[in-house]
Amino acid sequence: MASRLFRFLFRKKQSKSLLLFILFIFSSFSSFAQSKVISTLSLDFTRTETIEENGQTATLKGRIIYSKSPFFFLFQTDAPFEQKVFLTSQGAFLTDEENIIQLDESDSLKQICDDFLNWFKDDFGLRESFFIPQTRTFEDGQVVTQWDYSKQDSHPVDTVIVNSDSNGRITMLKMYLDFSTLLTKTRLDDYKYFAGKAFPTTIVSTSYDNNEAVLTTKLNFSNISFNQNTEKLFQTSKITLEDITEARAGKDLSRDTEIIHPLLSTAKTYDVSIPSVLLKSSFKFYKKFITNQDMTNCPFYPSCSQYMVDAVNQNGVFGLIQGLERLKRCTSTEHKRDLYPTLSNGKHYDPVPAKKSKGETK
Amino acid sequence: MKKRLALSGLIFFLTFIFLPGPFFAADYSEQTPAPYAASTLKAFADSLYNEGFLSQAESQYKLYLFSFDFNSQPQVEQNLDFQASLSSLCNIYKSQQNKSGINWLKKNFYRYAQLPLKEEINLIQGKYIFMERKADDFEAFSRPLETESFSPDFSRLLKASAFVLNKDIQPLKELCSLDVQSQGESSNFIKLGELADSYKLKKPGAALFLSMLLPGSGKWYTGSFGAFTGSFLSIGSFIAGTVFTGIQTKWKSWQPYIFGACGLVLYIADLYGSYQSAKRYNDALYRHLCEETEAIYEKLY
Repeated sequence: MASRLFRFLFRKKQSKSLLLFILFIFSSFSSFAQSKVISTLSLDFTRTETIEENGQTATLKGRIIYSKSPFFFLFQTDAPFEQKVFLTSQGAFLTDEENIIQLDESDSLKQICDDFLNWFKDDFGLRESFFIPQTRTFEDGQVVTQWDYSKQDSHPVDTVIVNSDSNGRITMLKMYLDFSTLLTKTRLDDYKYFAGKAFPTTIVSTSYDNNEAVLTTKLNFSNISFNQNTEKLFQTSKITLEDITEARAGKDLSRDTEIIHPLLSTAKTYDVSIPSVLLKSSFKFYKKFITNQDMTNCPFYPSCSQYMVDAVNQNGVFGLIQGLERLKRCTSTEHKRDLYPTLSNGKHYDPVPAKKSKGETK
Repeated sequence: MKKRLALSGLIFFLTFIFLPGPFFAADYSEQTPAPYAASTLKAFADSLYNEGFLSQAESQYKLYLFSFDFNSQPQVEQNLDFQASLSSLCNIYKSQQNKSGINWLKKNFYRYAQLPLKEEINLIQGKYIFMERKADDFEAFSRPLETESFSPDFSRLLKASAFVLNKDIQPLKELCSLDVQSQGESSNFIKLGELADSYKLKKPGAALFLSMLLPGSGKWYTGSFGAFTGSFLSIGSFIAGTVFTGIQTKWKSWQPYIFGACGLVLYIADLYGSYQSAKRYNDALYRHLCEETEAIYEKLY
């Protein structure tokens, strides 16, 4: 087979295909070399907050650890108090010396962790960012990009202006409440290269208020390391399974919910039956080549294709009928009736109905 | 000589046992800062709150509240600064939508708060508990509040929320009509009363039975005439196609069987859809009631 292919490629008449073949190999290798997957990330941080008027300062020292699989994000503080906040696929958990508490969606600590995680994801290219620059100008050898948020009612910021140098590194970021009111000014310094990506190790942010009160926040990163061994990572975070089991025995939980250890939560079962593999692969094809081009037009969340995959996972062959029924609803005008809870993005929430367990009554 | 040596050794030994205490002990008094006065903390917290640094103000208010000695100051309820800082803390948690913060405030300082502030704390906490849609939890929350004398609006809202969660529609209607009679058009319960009047459930079993007799009619029963016509025409056309091709080919070709199989799959999907749409209709009625109750909570904020 290989020799036939070789002969086919190296015929004189087929020189074009040879060229294409070489190009294909070259491009695939180069793309492989560029995509350095960051599976784990750990760094120490020091955050200093100063209020200029009073001269008061407060420092927070800690550690941030991110793991892609099993997914968890740990926000750990050492001083002035010891505290760990876990973001896992099961939710957010706060652990200190005595107990473990599940955090709510509205909890400010969870929001801080979410913000940190999203920021890291943007900066390390772990997630694609979808910002579209509005205007781009050149001033003093720097690129100044301005984004307009004024049409988004939910966003308090109107304009964001970003200065970046010739290497594409962000040097300054300003946020405006309106045309003249500066909200924050952030300076990013001391770039270092990690896994081919430049990352700032010093970030100084200054927030302004209407009364011209000034709050300066300085963030320093040190001991940054990538793709460590998972065991090593857990040694630095000092979290063990016993912590959680002891906490459970003490029943110091804020809610009576089952809490699963972040390591145990990722036990996966793989379904390799032919119908499910066929369905999932067709779903992936649809996602990658059709929805990707067409954008998501389904008025429901989860979308019809995802609904069908979920239904088949849950109910087997009957899931196909459920999916068909959902497609009928999606194409008719029924989704316009006020029968579904509406999400913030305007989509109707309609998941696969959960199975009733045997002990459950009406 | 030996005696001298032993004596000097003893003195040397004793010197190292007794002397180091005062001489070598670390002077911690210089390292630990002196605690701030309560008034300074309050002023600092207020300035942070007014400038909009809410999370920083929260920690300063907490420090201030814990600086009180509740045993030596029994009449802390009369302290205006204390009440003001409790109120600001409550406002911070309200604006941050911090559920655990409100729970913490109620657990530690509820007994020292005055009545309007107590009502506000309960209003915020009640809304969060109501949003979880658990009737037992809400009852456990509202039962101890029955003895306290809150405003009539708030006590009616507590009762109405319990009725909504337990789906007791008749007493809910009576409560709303009572409020509308007493307060007229300014009543907050007008829309809730209207929703309670129109709360008529559909039976999923009946929808299923109707769809068995006539494809799509279960959806008509739940109020969607468009879905009925769609289902009826699609399934009807498949049945017609099956019969027509069957008679034409004398049931020897594969065509009528393909049409029949497609029609059957659509028919089963329609049965399932009718059953689910009745359920969805009932859920929507309940959801509208809950959303309206939440809207009243926000009106009373």
